[in-house]
Amino acid sequence: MAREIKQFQKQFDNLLAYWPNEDPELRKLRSKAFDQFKSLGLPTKQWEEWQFTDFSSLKKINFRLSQSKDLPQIPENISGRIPNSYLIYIVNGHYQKDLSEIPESISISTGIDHFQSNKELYIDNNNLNPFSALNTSMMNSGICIALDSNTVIDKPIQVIYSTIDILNPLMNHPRFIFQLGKNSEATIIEHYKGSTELAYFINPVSNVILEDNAKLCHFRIEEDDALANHIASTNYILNSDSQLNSVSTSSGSKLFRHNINLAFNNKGGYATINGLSTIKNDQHHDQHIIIDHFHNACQSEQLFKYILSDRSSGVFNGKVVVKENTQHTDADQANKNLLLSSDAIMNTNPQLEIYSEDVKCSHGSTTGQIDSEALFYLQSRGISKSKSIELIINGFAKDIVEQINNEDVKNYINTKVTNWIEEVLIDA
Amino acid sequence: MPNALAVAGLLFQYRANMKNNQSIIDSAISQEYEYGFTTDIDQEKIPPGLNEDVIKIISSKKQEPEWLLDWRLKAYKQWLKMDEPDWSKLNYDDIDFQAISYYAAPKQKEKLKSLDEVDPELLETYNKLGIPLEEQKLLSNVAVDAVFDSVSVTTTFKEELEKHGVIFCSFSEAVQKHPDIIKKYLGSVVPTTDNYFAALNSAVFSDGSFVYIPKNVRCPMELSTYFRINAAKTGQFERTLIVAEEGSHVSYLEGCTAPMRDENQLHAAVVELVAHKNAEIKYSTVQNWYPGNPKTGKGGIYNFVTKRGTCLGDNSKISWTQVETGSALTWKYPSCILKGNNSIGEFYSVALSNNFQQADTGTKMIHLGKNTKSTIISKGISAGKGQNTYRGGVKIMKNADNARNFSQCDSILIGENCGAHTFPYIDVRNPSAQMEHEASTSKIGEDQLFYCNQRGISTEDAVSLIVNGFCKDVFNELPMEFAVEAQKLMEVSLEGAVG
Amino acid sequence: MLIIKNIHASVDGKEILKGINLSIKPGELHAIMGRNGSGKSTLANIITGRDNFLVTKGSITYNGNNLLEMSIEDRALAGIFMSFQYPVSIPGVNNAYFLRAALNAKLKHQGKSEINASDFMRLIREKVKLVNLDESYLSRAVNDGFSGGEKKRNEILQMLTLEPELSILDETDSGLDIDALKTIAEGVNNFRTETRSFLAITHYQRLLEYMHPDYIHVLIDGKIVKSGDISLANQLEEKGYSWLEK
Ligand SMILES: Nc1ncnc2c1ncn2[C@@H]1O[C@H](COP(=O)(O)OP(=O)(O)O)[C@@H](O)[C@H]1O
Ligand SMILES: [Mg+2]
Repeated sequence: MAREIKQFQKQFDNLLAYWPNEDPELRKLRSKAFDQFKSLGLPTKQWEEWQFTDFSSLKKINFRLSQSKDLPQIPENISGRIPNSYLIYIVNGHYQKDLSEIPESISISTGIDHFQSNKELYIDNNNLNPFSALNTSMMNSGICIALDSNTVIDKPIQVIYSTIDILNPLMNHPRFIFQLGKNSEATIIEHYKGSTELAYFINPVSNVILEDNAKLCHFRIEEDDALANHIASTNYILNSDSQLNSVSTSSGSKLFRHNINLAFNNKGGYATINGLSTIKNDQHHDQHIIIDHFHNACQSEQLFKYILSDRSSGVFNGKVVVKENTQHTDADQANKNLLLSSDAIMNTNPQLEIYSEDVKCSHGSTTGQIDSEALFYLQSRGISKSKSIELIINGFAKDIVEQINNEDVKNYINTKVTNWIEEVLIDA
Repeated sequence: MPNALAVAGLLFQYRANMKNNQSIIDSAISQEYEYGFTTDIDQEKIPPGLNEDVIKIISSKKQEPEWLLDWRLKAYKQWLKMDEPDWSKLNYDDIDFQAISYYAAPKQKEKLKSLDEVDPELLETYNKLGIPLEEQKLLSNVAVDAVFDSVSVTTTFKEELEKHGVIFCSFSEAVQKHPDIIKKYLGSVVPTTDNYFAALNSAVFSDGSFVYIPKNVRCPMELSTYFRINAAKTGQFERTLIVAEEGSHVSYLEGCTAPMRDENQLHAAVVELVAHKNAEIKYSTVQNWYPGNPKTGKGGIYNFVTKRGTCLGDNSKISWTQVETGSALTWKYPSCILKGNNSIGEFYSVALSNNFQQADTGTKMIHLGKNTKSTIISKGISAGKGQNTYRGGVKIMKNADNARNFSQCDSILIGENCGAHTFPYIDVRNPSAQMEHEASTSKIGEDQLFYCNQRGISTEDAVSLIVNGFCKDVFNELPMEFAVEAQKLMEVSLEGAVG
Repeated sequence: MLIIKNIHASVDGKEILKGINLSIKPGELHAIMGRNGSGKSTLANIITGRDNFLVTKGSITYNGNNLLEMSIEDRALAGIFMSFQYPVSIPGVNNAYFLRAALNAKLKHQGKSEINASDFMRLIREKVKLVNLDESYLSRAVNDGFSGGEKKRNEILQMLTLEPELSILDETDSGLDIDALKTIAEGVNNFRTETRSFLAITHYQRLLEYMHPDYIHVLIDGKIVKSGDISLANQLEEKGYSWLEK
């Protein structure tokens, strides 16, 4: 057994010992998933879908599952709080019920309770992703938010998953489930925030299910510490005529990998999936998106943007699959990248895999540096060079920020992006 | 000529789509493969199977120097250690490399000096292929090197070319007469270990074409080779090498056909192009190998080809144009390594997969030099049960300042059982790079069909009109005669397809 | 020549034509007027055979044949031509080549021999002048990058070349400046004979001033509510359509 697998095995055994009275079915699920993880191992360069990302950092450090003793002193002001929203607060893997503000119209449950009443949701189909298997085997935190049919939530729900003041290299495997009943509407902010002196490993899986005609705005903000390894999967299932607006930003973590899988489970679904990654130093951010058009009259739009500085590297791999005999599919996919340094690397592969005739699909990708024409234009209007550059980068990010249809979230992201640009320009 | 049933079948396709009326006709009899005759001439063929002895036989039959035999044997040993690639989207039964005969040559006495000496049967074959060699001498300005199975038979226009110092001959002849050039460049662009099929080719290649354009010479005519696989159960492994010295210019055309046979035949060629400073090579291919039986999918050519060019010198240019309408399987990625500063790589492709055909094709553009530029235009057409994949690679390396790439990959789908796939793979390691990739996939436009129909044009003709229009940007890159031929080929291939 | 009886048609289950009766004799020019969305183009599309409309009731005969049973191209070959309201572009397909293919399809249908390229070019150069279109448009792709007015001229060019018996002009006038309008009206007027008929769809009275229709029909909500002569157009110009609505 490889050394790192042994290490994970030890943690797995500890977890089983820590919760000896777990539902036997959950135990079975965990064990099966762990076996699967062992048989797959960590991805190597030979794995087509993982080839551009190096996971050796996960081998070098022994990450330990977070325990109750790892609960830190809770800060007075919760960092990253977005105004005018409900709050679900989880710190170092521990749900803080008292600090959370939860709307009455939804039901919230933590892992175990939820598992018992929703076992079918825990079947792990994503069986070629070792991290997903690892999450199933060790899921130790997270929350389920369920909306009944016809419920409309008045304010966004902000889920803050924060990692602070850790004394050991910790790992957490949060499992989130967001379930929207028929005709329900909600805005959920899934927010990862970290500030540590040590490396940590966070491996979340979020399963998002939209029943018929439901509407969800899902904003995922990744601001883990620069020392973090953040490896995530988000799985969307869209039923008839449901609508998803997903925006995902990433700026923290040394190693970031996010798999987004979206399946239209019935006709008439509509999804926009957008992403913005702003990275610097030696950060490596890798996003893989698969959208399955398996039903008629579904529409998807993807736009992913990367801004890369210093020695950072980005990977974008998006795939649209249209199954045989589906009709009226409309899918659009775009990836645009801005390289700010001569050491940055971008790898992109926007793919179309189409088995049906009745489609309108397109994709595009561009990579380049700051447009010198635009720069000249701004400077000729008397704007300083650095201010001009800042404006251009900001303009580049704008498309994505504008997709956020909540003012408070938009302001938050806007500020973050602006700060990021300023920092990068000062360093340069 | 469009046949009546095919027309009916096509109409069915569009009506059925719009009204969901599935009941009419299932499929129509498709167009016969036009080049599906075999030639009765004595073949000299060595028994099937592959081992070191076979390679030695091939080499000795060609009276090759020892270094070349060693080179082959080394490639063979490397091949034994390699695995057949499985990353493409192609689906096919395992190839039994021991069931293939690695050498087949028409039995002939000696080297031929003029066309009169060529076997009349052979000449007749060329005539059926539409390359009347005799006439060409008079009518057109194309020199032809015809490769029949594995051995180059005759080369026309030799004298005219010799005047300019252009060497255009069979590969075997070049090995004898110009060993230094061959030794210098053979495997320099596609190393023996490059991939499984290139390694196999390096071990067993039987013949091919060789072109050498001296410094500052503009080749006075277009050079052309026709390939044809005739003998049963043989593979064709030709090797082409084109070297363009500083400031020279050449346009090279390649056409391919094969008879109808029930079993699959293997074609694994290697083409290497070298362009020195300010040189330009334009390489055009019209490939219509036998695609297999349109109703059963049986037979047809397996086409695994490695084509690559190096723009070695500054300001050099390599341009690939291909029209791929044949073969049961196509696995082919003509590529450019842009080493010289300001060098240019181009790839223009039309790939059609109809009935049971599968094509996995595209290009790689590797930008190494500064101010290098590449353009990729790919048009995929899928019909019947055909599967068409564009697989590309654009790499902009660290020192390639101001590199530019533009790629456009469009696909159209005709009918409900076909597929189109796009995998562009882009890797940018220099911020001054500008790369742009666009792709689209859609079905053939109903509005366009209606417009044509309303002007009295039948649906079948309308489809071929629209598809030809769709391919225009690529056809424009072909030399005139080839463009016309390509257009005709599209029509023929589509007739069979839409049933 | 064309007899339309009680035609009802719908798209996606929505009824658009609600019982149209219309009969056109050789040599006549009929105009159909009506607001946007009243069903004018739908009627033209049904006569020419576009598939996305469902005829639920009624009949159309053309020279005694059941038109509804004929394919799109058979209707075209039988002499029905439509100048499209929105002509589609066909990238990469040469305009002259396209028109020759159409003309040859027609010649072949009539049992005549096909026209060769040079005779065709001679013919087409004449016609191009009639619609005041630059010859360079012949070598461009069909309607690709043409302005609205150029597309309409190109449609009329096709009509003049294919010489149909029945020409349906679907808002050929809209989007044209006054000079272009005159050119087109003139082209049509010179093309009129005792055997050629026209169905001109418009919602402006403008075109009719130049074209002198024999009959004018007003289409409101899928029905012809009033028919008359040119004076009806003048009335419409003054009073609009509302006085005709119930
Ligand atoms: N393909 C279609 N699908 C759905 N509705 C259509 C379609 N074509 C036309 N319609 C509808 O039918 C009505 C009549 O359209 P049309 O015949 O184009 O009007 P007009 O030409 O008089 O402006 C309009 O309400 C239009 O929206
Ligand atoms: Mg209209």
